[in-house]
Amino acid sequence: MSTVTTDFKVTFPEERPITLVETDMMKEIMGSTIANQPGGGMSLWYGRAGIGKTTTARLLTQKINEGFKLNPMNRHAFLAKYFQVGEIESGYGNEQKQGLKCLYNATLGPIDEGDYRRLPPEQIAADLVYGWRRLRYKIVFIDEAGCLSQGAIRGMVLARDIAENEGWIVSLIFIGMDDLPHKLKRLPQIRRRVHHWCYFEAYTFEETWKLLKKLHPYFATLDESDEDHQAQVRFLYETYGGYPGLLMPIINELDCLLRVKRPAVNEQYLRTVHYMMIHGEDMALAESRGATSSKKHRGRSR
Amino acid sequence: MKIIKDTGISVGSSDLSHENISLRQQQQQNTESNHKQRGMKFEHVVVLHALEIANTALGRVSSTQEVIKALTKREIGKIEGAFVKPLSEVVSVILSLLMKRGAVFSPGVIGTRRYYGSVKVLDPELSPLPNFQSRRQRVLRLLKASVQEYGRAVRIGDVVDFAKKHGMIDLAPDMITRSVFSLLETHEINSISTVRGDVKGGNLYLPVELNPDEYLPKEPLTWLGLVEKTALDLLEERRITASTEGGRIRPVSTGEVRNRLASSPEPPSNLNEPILLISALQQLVQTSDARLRKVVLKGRKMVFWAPIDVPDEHLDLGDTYAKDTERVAEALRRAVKRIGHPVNAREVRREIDEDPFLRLAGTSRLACVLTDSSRVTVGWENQARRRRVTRHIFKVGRINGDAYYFHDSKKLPQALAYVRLRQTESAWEMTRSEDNLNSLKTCSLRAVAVGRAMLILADTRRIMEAVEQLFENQTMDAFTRKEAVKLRDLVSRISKDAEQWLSTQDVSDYNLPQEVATEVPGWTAEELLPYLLPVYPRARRVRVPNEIVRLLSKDEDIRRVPNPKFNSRFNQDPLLAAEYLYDRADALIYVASSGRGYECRLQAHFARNELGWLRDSRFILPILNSKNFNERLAAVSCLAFLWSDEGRERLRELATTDPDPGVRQSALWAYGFSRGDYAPELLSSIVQKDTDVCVRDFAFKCLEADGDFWWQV
Repeated sequence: MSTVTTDFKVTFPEERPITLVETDMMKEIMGSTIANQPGGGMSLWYGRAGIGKTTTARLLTQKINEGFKLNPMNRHAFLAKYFQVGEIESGYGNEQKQGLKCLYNATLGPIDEGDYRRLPPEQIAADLVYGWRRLRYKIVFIDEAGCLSQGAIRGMVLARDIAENEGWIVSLIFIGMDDLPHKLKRLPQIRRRVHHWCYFEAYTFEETWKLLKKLHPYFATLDESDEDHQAQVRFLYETYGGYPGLLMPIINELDCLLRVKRPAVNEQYLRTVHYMMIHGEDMALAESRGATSSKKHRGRSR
Repeated sequence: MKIIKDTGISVGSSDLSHENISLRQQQQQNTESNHKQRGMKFEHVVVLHALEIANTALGRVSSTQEVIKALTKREIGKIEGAFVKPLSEVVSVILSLLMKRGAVFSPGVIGTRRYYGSVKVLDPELSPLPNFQSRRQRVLRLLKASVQEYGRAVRIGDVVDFAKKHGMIDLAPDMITRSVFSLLETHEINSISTVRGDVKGGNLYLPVELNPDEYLPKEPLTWLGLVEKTALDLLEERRITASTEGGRIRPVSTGEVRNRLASSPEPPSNLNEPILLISALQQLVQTSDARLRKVVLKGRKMVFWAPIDVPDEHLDLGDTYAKDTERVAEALRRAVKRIGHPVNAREVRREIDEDPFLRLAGTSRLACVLTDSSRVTVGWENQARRRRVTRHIFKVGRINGDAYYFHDSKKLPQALAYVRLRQTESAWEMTRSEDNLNSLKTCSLRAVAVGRAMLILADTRRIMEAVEQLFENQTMDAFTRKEAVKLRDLVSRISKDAEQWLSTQDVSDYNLPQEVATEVPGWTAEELLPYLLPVYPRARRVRVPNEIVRLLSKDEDIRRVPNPKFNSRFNQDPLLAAEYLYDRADALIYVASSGRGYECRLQAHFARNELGWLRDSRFILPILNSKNFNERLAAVSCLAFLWSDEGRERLRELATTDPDPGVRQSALWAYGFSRGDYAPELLSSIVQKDTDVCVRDFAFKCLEADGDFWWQV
């Protein structure tokens, strides 16, 4: 019988409250999305990873649903749904149905496999719209929509069109990166239904500073006239490019260090923390490269 | 000390880095002014700065590449703008110059990389080179370890496999090969022998310090060697059997060799290509020192393999059995021996397929021979049946519709226990408790989820009783007992999980019953048929209601449950003649989801997702008082398919009083679909009185619709 001795003991860290900073850009986009809803057009939210598209969508969904709860008897009130899609590749057939299935599962619950196979796409779409109407969904956020094929997007557009014909206006908001705008633009049937194109721009240096101030109390103490403080923010801005999602890991790391030891932070300290973070990534990538080349190796040993 | 840190937050590893950082910070205050005082170039300051960052972060001396990684994009741009040479060379030169100034030290070189440290961050006396090994030395260590693991000299392929098995994925196979050749050149390892080459290599390598005689392989390493050994082992077993039973040696077929190889702990991948085994056997009989020979029988396509030293006269070539009964009994004996417990006709067929000498000579089908031979009594035309004197085949029961047979009368109780266990397992699988437990999280109605969990608990109790009964009878053999223990553990685990899940649910506000009703209201085929007619076109061609059993069983659209009143298949009363009944709620959901109306399909969808196999409406009724309209909507859908008097009453009430028009509309439909009394009168009243135009419109359409099919509106 083997005995294992180890000194390590798990200390579960306390859950930290999620800091959500509502920036001007987020407010502007949320406002325009709500304002455009009665028109029923589809929207595209596009921007690089970490810019805050998903956060904005979740926040807006939460706000809409909370607003609905306050007065469900208001006949203009509606609900919103946010969900992330997996990949639907083109060229495998039934893409429209797969797109509809995504919407169905996310909003009404898992569709019966028999119904999915048996019913034509327009029937599934009509059922979906009937369910939306009954459950009072009027905005649906489809995150990672770059994974969808054009066929799948057309399936979703079919549901939106049927909803419009039935007098129940539903806005589909596609959120994504990659070639999503081109996918939406390529087909006129889709293009002319996208009324609202939202581009999430990277924050400028000044905006990043403002954002950092709100994200962590340490940055709130920084003085804009201090050279080292400026260098700290400039380093973060130049390294992470004004994308909140990319800034969060180093802020979390810094937060952790500040809680444990309360060090005096300066530019070089921040650079060292950043270095420690990327070093692990580099090591993993270097080793993974070895593994990849071992997979590729098909030679005959001697 | 080496610090490798992942990209997540790691407080433990941060401590050390923090100390380094603090140490450096104490000295940092005057760094830049010091550099300026010494008149350093900007590029030198930047590189020194980066070296300090790298040293602090890693907690050790750093290579040039590691220093470059600590430079910012702007700094890299400035250095590249000032020098023509590549960045790594420039940084390397700057570090050398800084060494001359005394700001940087180097403890030495590993391979081609020099390591540097800043005197402000690290103590030169206490900062050795990192503990990195060269690839060659790593491969040598790997080879030695693989020799120890396999207990023999190894091929390059073995070393590659060993590296992969132990997670050394950074050592690519081509790198290992190159290092092995290098080690051979420097005489750190020897090539002691060769084997017939395959993808793993033909040379056997051993470290020089080991004795080659002790490490020569004892088992075949190649495919051909393995095939030859397997065939000869099989023939040796046959030789021993023949000498003990006084018969002749039975040659082996290719299929038998394949089965033996496939049943080994690590079946060779070559078995995936059937032709490879045949080719290997053909090659083995054609070599100059062949130990096998081919046996071809007249009039048969099949080829057999026999030892080269045994002539045909000493081989059993298939003239042993007189009757089909004997052949089938022998096939059954072999199948039971192979599997270790009672077998069905398919397993017996497999034995017959593998041994051509067991093929039936008569025209009777295997199933008929098995059934006839297993009968307790025998009889001929115009003669009274009498008890069979000698029985070689025993029917021990049915599992999932398949008859199971056994051959040994002495071990019959054990065989019966095995079949009972499998029947219990089958009953357990039918409950789908594990899936149902997992699907609880998709159920949005808490009270319904609690009812479903209680149903799972009731099922587990029932199965547990059956398993305990088996243990009490004490007729199980070791294998059956082991399987029974496994089943008991599984059922017990699911039961505990369900109990644990239930304990976390607070549904005190619902006033739910303490026990769940496990009875499933069922319909015979005759009762189901009228409901199927509007949605199932093939049902219209049915002449006898029982034909729909065949139609529906193909895709298992509607769940069937055992009929507690079942008497005999030949009973005149359909309720007593049906072994299984259709689950009424499941049938109604199927019918509604196949209907043309949006309302019926939506309600069927909600009910299917919520109800699972719960058929107790007492868990639904309290939800009708919920403030959340989504919950009320789902509860109404469930009641549409769980017909009960109280449910109908509440649906009628909701159809007129619920504040949400959508819920009123759904309740109206559900009331009608669940055969509520005076439904047309209710519809008329709603057409006149309801405040919402959509509800009035819906009620009107229902009134206008075609009689029995109104629910498809």
